Amino acid sequence: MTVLSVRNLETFYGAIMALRGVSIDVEKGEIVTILGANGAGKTTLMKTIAGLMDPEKGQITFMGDTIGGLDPDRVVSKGISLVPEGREVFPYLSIEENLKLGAYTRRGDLSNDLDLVYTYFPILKERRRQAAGFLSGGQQQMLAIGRGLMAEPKLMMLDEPSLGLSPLLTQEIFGIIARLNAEEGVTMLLVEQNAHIALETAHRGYVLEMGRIVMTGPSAQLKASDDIQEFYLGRTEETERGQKRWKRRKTWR
Amino acid sequence: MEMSRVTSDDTIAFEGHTTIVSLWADRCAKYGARTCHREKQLGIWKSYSWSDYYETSKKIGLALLELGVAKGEPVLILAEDRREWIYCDIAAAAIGAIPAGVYTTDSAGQLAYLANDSGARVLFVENDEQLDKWLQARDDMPGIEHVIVFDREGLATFSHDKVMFLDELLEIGAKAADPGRFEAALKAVKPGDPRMLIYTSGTTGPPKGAILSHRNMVFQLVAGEQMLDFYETDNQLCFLPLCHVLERLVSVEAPIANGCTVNFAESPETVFENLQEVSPDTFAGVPRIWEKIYSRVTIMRSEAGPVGAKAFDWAMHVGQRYAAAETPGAGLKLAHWVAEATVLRNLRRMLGLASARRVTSGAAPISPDLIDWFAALGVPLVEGFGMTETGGVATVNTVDDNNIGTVGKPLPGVELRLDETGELLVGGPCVFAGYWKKPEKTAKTIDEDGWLHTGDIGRIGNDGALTITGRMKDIIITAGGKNITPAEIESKLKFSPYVSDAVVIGDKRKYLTCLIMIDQENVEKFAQDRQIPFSDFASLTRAQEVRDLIGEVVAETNKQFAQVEQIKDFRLIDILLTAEDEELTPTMKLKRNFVNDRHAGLIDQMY
Repeated sequence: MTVLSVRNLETFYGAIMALRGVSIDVEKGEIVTILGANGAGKTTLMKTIAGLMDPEKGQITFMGDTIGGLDPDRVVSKGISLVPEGREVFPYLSIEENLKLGAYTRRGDLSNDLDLVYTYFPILKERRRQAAGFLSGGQQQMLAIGRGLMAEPKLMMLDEPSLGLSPLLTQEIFGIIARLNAEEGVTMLLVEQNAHIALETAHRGYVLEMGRIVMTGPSAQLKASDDIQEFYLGRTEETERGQKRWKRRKTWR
Repeated sequence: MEMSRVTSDDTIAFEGHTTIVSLWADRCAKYGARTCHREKQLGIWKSYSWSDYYETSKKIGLALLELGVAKGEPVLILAEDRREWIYCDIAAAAIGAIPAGVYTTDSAGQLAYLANDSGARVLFVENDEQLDKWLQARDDMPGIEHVIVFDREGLATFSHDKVMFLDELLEIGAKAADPGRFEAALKAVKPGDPRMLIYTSGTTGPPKGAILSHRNMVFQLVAGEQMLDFYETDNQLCFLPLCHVLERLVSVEAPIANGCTVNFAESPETVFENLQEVSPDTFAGVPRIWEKIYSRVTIMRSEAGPVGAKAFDWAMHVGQRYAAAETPGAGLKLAHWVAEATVLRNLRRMLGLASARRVTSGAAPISPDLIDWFAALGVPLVEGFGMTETGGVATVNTVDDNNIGTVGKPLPGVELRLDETGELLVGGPCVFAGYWKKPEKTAKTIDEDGWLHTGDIGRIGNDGALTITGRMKDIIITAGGKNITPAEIESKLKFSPYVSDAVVIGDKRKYLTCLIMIDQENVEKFAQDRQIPFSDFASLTRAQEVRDLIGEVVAETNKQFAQVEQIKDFRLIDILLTAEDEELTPTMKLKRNFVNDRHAGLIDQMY
């Protein structure tokens, strides 16, 4: 079943066209990753889906309903939660208060959800009364993901969860992301600069360049592409000189 | 019949000069500090004089002599168009060596093939990227003894005993014991000596090196002067590969003869911007360029809004009538004046064709409709015909006598004949000197009477103008026994801004089909404007609306052809091809044989 379908999306920052017609699909139970360099439009795509920006053109359909142009709170209550770039936790609130805010748009008993978050992130339970500002970067990222989970989302969008984290912590966070998907069936749309770990974790991927999708396919296929290897996975072909300054021309196949 | 057309007499001379290099030395002395080349560096156009041209080339020539480069020895140049390319080219020719260009899109393996086939010992490369090709395949080309790199960037710590940089080479030239050797060598060059070796891209088999003599090229200059006008004040834009005979003739030989200034495009991607900046007086392009300009304007029109589009349509209609009229009436003259003032002149300025006195198209067939369209716009586009083996140009239309649909009349001194199979034969001093180290191939191409067998089929009109209808080997004989020349159908298809290139198929088949390469930019825009979802290029070619769009183009084309020439089915090539792909020539044309092999699956679907 298609959870999210984006069609020919165009989004502008003033006169600047950031998305130039993007079409993507996310199926239930999948992790889909979006790769792209700085300024490719990844975050803009997330923000447009989340309702933080309005699209100029195109449709966004979520579980069969059109959500393009809705306010963010309506989008959240439909079942999309965004774990924003740079974590954006509320530093003066306690961890548990942060988590409860994640469930702001729905009523009812939160204890099951809190338990679920604490199962996956035991450190948050240990420090649940402390102010979130005292957490380390990795723990704040865990809190941001936990807060996103509290909304019981049908689709979770993660914007660069590895930002500013050590390689080891990145491994840990992505391990948990993969487990959440496998064990709890959370559908995820993952934007990431670290193409290596994103392609390890995701089932499928899109490559966004200059506001357009240039390549798409299962992760294994993307990983095997020469362009992805050179431009995203940092493979350097061994040359006689032991270094290579020039870049091959991108063909996206 | 004359005994032989190949060894014509030596009286072919341009202002007394029988070799390109002696003409060059004369011109450099005459023009001195005048601007000869312009190149953009860090966004600013810089000028280089005729003296720079001579002095630098002389140093390179002396250094090549010091390295032991002998007369008649090929020297390879692997670089994008830039003035150093031309310096090395002329330097090698001046000492009697034979410069040969290598396409920058060639692979390391292809470079090794050319190195071995030519037997060159010296290889010029542009930068680290091209140097890596030699490094990668150097064991396969042991004959290369010296590699000279133009740019040092990225190579600060690199050293290799066979590699030096251009400034080091110039140093050797500057220190040469006997600088007079250069002029002596230059004077020793004879009209029959090879001026250049041009490797033909070869749609079948490995490339062959065609030898063009000084006589061949001087003949081109003499004949060109009789048919076309040139001025010392002319600006030109150099952007097609200098490895190709047409660009070499237009950007190296012709400016030497005529004193024009050559401006180098920054890269193949910036041609349109550079065209705007330079606004050349004459411009030689290939059909792909003209098709691109046409589609850009078509797209601009669709974005101009209803008023702009109306104004454009009206102006083009007036332009068309004006161009077609023998003697335009007063009403038409007035309308044309208004159209010029409001639309056409601005459009030409935007395109960089405001000063263009004559623009030419060659190397591949162009649609007559496109020439008409440019005429309406006020751009005098003329088509010519030639091949490497004819030294560049064999026939050309002129602005005053533009016989649209034909490739023009032969250059004075060139003879045309059709043999009993309909193959075009060319005779005269333009016929090349033979293939490098391939006497049997030469014998197959030039018969004992000196006629060059072009492999093209065509007809010659009563006025002497030639029309090329296709290639001998491209003729499709359908299962029904009908002979069809696909080129005419293909060039109609390409007239659509959505079709980049097409290959018609149907040899030994019941009916015709075709494979189409869509124009990425324009089709993406079409899809986005109509909210047709697509992600990557392959998904764009799969979209039903895109198929319908191309289907309409095919249906429209079919209307103009007879029953047996109807295209019954088509497929879109779903990978975005680049110049590095074997299916494309360096001028971005599909190669029939490669396409037939690589996309056999798609073709079989249609039968």
